[in-house]
Amino acid sequence: MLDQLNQIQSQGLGELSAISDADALEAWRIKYLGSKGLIKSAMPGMKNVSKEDKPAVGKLFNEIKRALETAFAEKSKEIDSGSKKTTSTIDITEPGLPCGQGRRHVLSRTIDEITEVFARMGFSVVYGPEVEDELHNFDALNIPRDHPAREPIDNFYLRKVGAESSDASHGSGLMLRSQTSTVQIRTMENTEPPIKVIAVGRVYRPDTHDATHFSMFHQVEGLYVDKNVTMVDLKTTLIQFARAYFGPEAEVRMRPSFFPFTEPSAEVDMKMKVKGKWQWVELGGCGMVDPNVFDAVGYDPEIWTGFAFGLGIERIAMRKYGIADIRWLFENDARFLRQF
Amino acid sequence: MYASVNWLNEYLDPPAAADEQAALLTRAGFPLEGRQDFPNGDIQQDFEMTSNRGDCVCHVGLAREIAAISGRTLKLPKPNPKVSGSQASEVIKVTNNEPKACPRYTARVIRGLKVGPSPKWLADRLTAINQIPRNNLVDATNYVLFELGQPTHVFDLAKLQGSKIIVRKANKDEPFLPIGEGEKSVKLSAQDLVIADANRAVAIAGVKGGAETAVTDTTTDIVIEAATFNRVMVRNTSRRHNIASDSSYRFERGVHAGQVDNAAERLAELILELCGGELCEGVVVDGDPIPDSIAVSMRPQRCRKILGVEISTDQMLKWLEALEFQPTVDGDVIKCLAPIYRFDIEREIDLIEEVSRMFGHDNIPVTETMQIRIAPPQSIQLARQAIANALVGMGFVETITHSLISDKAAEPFVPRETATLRVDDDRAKAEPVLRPSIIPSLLRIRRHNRDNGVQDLKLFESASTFGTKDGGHYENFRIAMTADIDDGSEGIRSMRGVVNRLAEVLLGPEISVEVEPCSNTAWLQPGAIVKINGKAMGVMGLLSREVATQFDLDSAIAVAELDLPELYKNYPPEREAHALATFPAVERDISAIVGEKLAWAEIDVVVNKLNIQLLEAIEFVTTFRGKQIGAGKKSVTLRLRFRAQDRTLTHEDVDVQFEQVINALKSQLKAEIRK
Repeated sequence: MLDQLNQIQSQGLGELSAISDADALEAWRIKYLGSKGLIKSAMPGMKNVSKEDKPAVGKLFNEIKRALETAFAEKSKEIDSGSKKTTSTIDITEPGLPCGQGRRHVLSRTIDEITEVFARMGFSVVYGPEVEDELHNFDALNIPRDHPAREPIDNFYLRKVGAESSDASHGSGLMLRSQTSTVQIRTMENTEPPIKVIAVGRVYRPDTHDATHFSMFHQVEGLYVDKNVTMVDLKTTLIQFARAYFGPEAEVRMRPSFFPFTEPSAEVDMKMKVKGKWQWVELGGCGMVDPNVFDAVGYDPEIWTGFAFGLGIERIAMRKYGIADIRWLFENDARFLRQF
Repeated sequence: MYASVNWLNEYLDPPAAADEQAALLTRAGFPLEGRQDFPNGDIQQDFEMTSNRGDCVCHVGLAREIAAISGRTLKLPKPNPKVSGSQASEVIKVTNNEPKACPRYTARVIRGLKVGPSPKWLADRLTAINQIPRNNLVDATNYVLFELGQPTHVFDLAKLQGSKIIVRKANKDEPFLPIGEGEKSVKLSAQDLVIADANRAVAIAGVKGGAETAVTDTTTDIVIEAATFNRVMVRNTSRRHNIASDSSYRFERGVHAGQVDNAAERLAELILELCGGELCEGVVVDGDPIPDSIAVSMRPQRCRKILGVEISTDQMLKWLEALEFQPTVDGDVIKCLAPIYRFDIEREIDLIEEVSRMFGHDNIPVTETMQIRIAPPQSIQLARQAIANALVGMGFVETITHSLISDKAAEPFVPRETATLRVDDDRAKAEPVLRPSIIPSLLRIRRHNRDNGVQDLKLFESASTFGTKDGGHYENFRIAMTADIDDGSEGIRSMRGVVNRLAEVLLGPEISVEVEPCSNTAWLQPGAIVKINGKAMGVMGLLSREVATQFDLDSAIAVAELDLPELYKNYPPEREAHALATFPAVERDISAIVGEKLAWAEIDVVVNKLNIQLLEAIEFVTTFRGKQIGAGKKSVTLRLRFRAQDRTLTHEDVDVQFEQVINALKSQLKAEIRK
């Protein structure tokens, strides 16, 4: 029995070493390892082995079986790789399949980046409705009834619910917000100072669409109210933002200006990189919260002072990425969106 | 506003070069927008004006700012026209019926003048600010307008009927022909203020003079009108008739009654110099008394507190003095009188702003460090980003589309028992609806991309949706997704997978997401309500053929729109680690032949209700339809996964449970089991 087994092994290994193609290898496998192969056929012979020899013979049987299987595995690997080498059809230089086709919109991305910088400075993000009333969009922001900013020509007033036709008095009292400053008011109405928040979102003004105007755009609005907040804090916040967002060479310039809800008020210019060159870009407005605004929300302006600023997201994104036409942003052509 | 460098320097001692003028005015709040150099050596600079500083829309106003900031002396013209004629009041009568709308109306008369070309110096001044010189008389009025900021008007005395000037409201539909070539007659409104003679309107107050009483080359006798009108009234009239003029621009920003006479004297003096003639004695006036200057005070300490800069009280006094505020110190307070032309100065904060302008925003220091309170976790912001990032990872492209859409696009998506909210604006005629859903916008973008050759696109957008319900309006922040799909069933399953994943991102892996077929949403065929932890959170399904055709889309599109933001507040979900199972699972497949209409969800429910302890999961494998199954039937293959936590299961362990499932499917769903 032992001899028989040893012979199967040596004969099998010998034949295997001479094999060089897959067909012969398969024939060899059937002859030795197949269900009717020599190994399986030798099994019944175990019955005739004496009881005391059985463990030793069994062990040898297993060893030989394993040796043939291992040798077979190695040979088949050798033949396999050999055949692949010779019949390879892989062209490593073929172009890759597209993957990662998803994208954030370039404006969302800009908003997230800006939000993140202000969050580092301790600003929380707050949200407010896009359909607003005149109280929050104008009155509480110190924009009186006869102010030109309230003209229908510059605002999207909403039709009264249920009204069939246009109502000259804008009877709904509702409008699409024309500025995110509305969120300042809502936040102060609902929160006791100190407050340090930014509001980001869509605003609406009925501009005719062209390369630089769209009737919907985005603003980021900041508000900081505390004891002893000053113009120095305002300028510091803006310059820290500019450096963090545009790079350490960025600069900030404030030019006196006029907004009803801040005083002193200023236009904000930032020096940023536009097409590789540092340039001054008008980015928005800022100022110290007007005492009338504090009165409107029930804060005592003798105790609390604060600053507010508003920056245009589209303007930042357009300059930063060299987007020549604002309408590209809202056309949502995937070929454009995938540039970012 | 266009300003001439030479003209400004007439009022400045010492004069300032163009660049310095620009720098100082920019610092004062009037940034330079453009510059044009003329061959005669003058330079035009264009400054951006703010709506609160009407007093600066003239050369004297700008020169005053330059003088105050730079410490120059302001040289103002001091008119003193020579009177030589009879009493003006004998020549013209003025009746002011509307002193609210016209607080002061003055008329002066010059007779025997001669209209001719303007001298070169005057023509040069006007040319430098883009005004076209006409004749010495008209140019004189323009010169005064751009010198002092006071609009004036001259009537041809001979053409004023009845030697009368009446300030009154227009009659409804009263005709009026404005000055100017090619102008057409306008019909006035009863809200308009006009200047009339005995018989007709001869000017729209503060906006435009009339053609019928305008001066011509042969005019010899004139009435000089200098007046002030209510700002809002002028603006409304100007808008109503779509007539804007340099006068209306100026009046809309406020002209004080106290300025009127000085400007009228200046104009009279200039006309006598340029055109000759005799100025009648006296002024014909009607209106309210001239209001006094407003007293305003400021606490220097308060000023320092707002600005954050240590500016001495003395320095503040110097600047306020330069700005002609006549400051005096009274204890802890600086008391000022606001110059009459400064309509923007009423409160302490207005004076603080003046100090801040004079100090210069460029000089405000910045600090290198800042004190910060750390903000609490920004759940909503982080959740929004997590959702967006998850979708981007799944190949979705984010869009940002307009919230206003057309009636037609909105129509299929208006939920039952609601109506659309719309803007009351004719300019938005084509797209007046605040969208009830983001899906129509995504479909439009899908088509735009298809037309531009972009294939196989998945889109998403987070935005507000709007509507009215029960007489009020609502605004819901939602997230919507669309995906091109090849095969209905597989495509819907992938969208379902997206929905599952988003719910998991927001609420963690223990979440339950169910879809409940629903026929309420006709734009989905089939459509379903998405329930997250048992609560309806939106819809998903296959876009109906009808709506797809409406949007000119031919491929199948899976959509979902969810009210996820309600879940944002609790982001991030609490997560807890679980040890992985150490013992292997036993899996068994069952193919059940059931009626075509039987939903997978029903099978799922039947199996789950058995509450089999060892059953770890029930998985959908495939659905097969074919001849061997029979018409109206399908074969659904499910895989049961059994596992014990404490031992390796044997086949015998699960045989009983497996039979239990088979029996339940047979008895409760009338399933035929293929083995």
